[in-house]
Amino acid sequence: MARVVFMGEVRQYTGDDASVEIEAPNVLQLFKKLGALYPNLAPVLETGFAVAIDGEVMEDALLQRIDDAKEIVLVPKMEGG
Amino acid sequence: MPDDMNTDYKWVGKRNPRPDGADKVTGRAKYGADLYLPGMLTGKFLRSPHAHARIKSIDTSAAKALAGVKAVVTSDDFPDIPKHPGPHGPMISDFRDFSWNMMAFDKVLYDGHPVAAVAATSEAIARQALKLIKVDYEVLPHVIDPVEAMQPGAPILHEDQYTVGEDEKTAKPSNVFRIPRAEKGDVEEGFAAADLVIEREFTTKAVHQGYIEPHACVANASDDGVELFCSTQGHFVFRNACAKLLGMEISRIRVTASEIGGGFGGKNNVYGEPVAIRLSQLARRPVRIVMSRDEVFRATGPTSGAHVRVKIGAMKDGTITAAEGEMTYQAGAFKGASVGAAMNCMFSPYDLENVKVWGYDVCVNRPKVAAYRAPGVPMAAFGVEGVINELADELGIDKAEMRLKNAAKEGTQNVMGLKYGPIGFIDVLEAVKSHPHYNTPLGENQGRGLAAGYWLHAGGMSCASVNVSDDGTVTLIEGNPDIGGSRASMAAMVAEELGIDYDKVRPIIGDTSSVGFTFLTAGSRVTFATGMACVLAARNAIKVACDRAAQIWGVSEDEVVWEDGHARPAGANVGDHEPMSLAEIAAQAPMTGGPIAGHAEINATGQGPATGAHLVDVEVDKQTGHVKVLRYTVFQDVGCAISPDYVEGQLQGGAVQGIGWALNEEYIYDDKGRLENPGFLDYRVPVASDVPMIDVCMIEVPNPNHPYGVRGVGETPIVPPQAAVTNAVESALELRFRDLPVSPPKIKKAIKEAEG
Repeated sequence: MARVVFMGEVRQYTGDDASVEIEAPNVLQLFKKLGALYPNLAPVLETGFAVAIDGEVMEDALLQRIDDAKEIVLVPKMEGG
Repeated sequence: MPDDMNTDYKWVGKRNPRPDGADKVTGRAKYGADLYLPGMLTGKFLRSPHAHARIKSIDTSAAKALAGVKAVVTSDDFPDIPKHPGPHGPMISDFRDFSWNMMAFDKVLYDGHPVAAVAATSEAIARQALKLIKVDYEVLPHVIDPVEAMQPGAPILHEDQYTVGEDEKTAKPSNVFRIPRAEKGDVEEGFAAADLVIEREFTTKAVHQGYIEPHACVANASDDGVELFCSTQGHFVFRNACAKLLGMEISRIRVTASEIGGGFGGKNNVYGEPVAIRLSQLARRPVRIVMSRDEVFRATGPTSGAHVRVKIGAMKDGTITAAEGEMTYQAGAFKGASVGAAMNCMFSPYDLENVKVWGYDVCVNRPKVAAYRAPGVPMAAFGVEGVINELADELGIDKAEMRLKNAAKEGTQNVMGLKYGPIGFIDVLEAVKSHPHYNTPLGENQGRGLAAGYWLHAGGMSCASVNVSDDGTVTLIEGNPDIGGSRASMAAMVAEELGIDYDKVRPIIGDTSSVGFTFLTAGSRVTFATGMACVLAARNAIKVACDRAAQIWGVSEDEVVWEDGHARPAGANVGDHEPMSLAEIAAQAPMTGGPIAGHAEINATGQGPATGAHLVDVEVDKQTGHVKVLRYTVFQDVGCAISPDYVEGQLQGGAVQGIGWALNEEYIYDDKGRLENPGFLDYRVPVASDVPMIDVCMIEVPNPNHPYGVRGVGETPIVPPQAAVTNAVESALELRFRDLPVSPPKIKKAIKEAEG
């Protein structure tokens, strides 16, 4: 069971919930469950968020296993020069 | 600097010659404008003279009738793409924005916005044709400054744009696309605990990446598809964008990246490439488009100009108790200012309990901004580092000590939730304190400045192939355009893995049809992500080579190991077999199972952040306001410098670009919203005579998530210079400056005001 933390602008889609406990095998399933729980959040997930799994940023890692993850934070994607 | 950074390796960390070096210094290298094809036409753009206007009509009939003109296009010749952010490789992009930026739809949104393009048999005919195109404009009020663009009654660029989160049924259209926010701890509580709170406002101007090579491409369309040759930071991303913008299948477009004369983020996105393809399709001949410098300045991405407000509270011992940052960034004509990256990085060199950041992504009548080295961060860091320097002065604390007191370390979690692994900021600051530069006495009218910087870096998709030839030499194919010497680094890592000489590895940048999707050369990701793909491809080739040796010796694969470039028996009980080199195994390949090769397709994660600090001495001429940079030292945690020469080059280049940003560079518009200085004579970038030799102090704290400990290095060095140089000027004059550039007129004015 991972604790998903909502920081900053994400909270406007979660009814000001700061976090939620969700059990999911990978990031894709996590996103599906988050989208079902917070319907307004689904489009935001598709517009440029990476996840920090226990502090480590994982970009485009929908199939990343999160069975043992303790904390997952949505992080804006970085581009760069 | 030492000749070699790492004594454990034979090729990694060594100053190997770059494979592309001789071609570049002898003029053989082919850049974007260097391809000539039979029957090739010249493509030219007609651009808007207005900052904001509605296009009532465009009449291209006279241009089309001109002898020598083979094709003319307007927005009518491109698919009408609906407004919707969608996948673009690993990114999310709104292709309607891309399309309308490529060719104005119903409105022009900035001076220089393309409205039509022609392809003709000569440049002279193309220019003549442009003059024959009649555009009827209804000029509209324009807005250049983002703060003004947020005010009620400001001209609205996009009538269907509402601030993200607003209800479109009740809200009014807005130039503000989004207002991202992030918060950690309780800033109010933190400020209440502070002994001193300083809050300041800062402004920076839009500046251009200033790459020497302009955007250039050659498109050659046939019934079978399209070949595109162009200067790009990512030919796979360009291929996919062209397909989307033209309504084509991706595999019908084959893109070859030319050598590239600088990009710095400005060549992450397409401009003329889809237009050249459409012109070529219509004319059924190759079309080349090469932008002039005027076009580069007026129509390709500068970085955002910014308004930044920073508030930091600290205790008497220098401990920061709370920090707050508000950013208002120009996005240009279409949404997409790098506010999120700025929020992620601005306070991230520090271990802070209470942080609050938010920003405004604001459309204005300027060219759409593009990434520029650590996009969005230098403007925010200018404010943060400026306030930290002022706090240190007010509290009577050494500036490096003040930063050490609050430095991020392993386990620190930043405001966006990223928890750091090994991070070298403390090592960087200790190196600053112990460096001779830090305590060298200064003369009259001279000052010393210090500032720090941080960048997270990118990972992402990369592919590589290692093909071993019969003679044991290796062709390495990877998919990232080489901007800063990455081919040398890739070859060094592969040579190290294979145990063969560096010059036996020939690195090639594959076109989009010869290697798998590889994301941009951007975000300082290449040596990390593509380097990892190259290492894995080499290891896969080694597996094949070991398997062949095992079969030749009649033993199992796990009884063979690869050491020092040879397959060897794993132990004495395997048998007495003479070790076989890669060349010896490859020579038998045709008879022992076929080619020896290794491939890797990865989506790299685990990139480590890089931190740095810049120390600079300046001398100010109080009569003229001129600032001379006397001495400059860059300190940075580089993870592992695979190619020290090219890492130093990245650090030096970032510093010099930052010096220009701090002292000279700015976009200047007239009252009609037209850019007044679109050329290097009036837009003053530093040249060799403006800067001293930039000294470099590389600190290596390896990133545990890369086989050789690589961190990106190219972004961080442009973050500290603006604040460091400004702080040096402040120290020389005992005055404060919070508006970049700190140009001679501003310095003279400040001195005059101080003298009363």
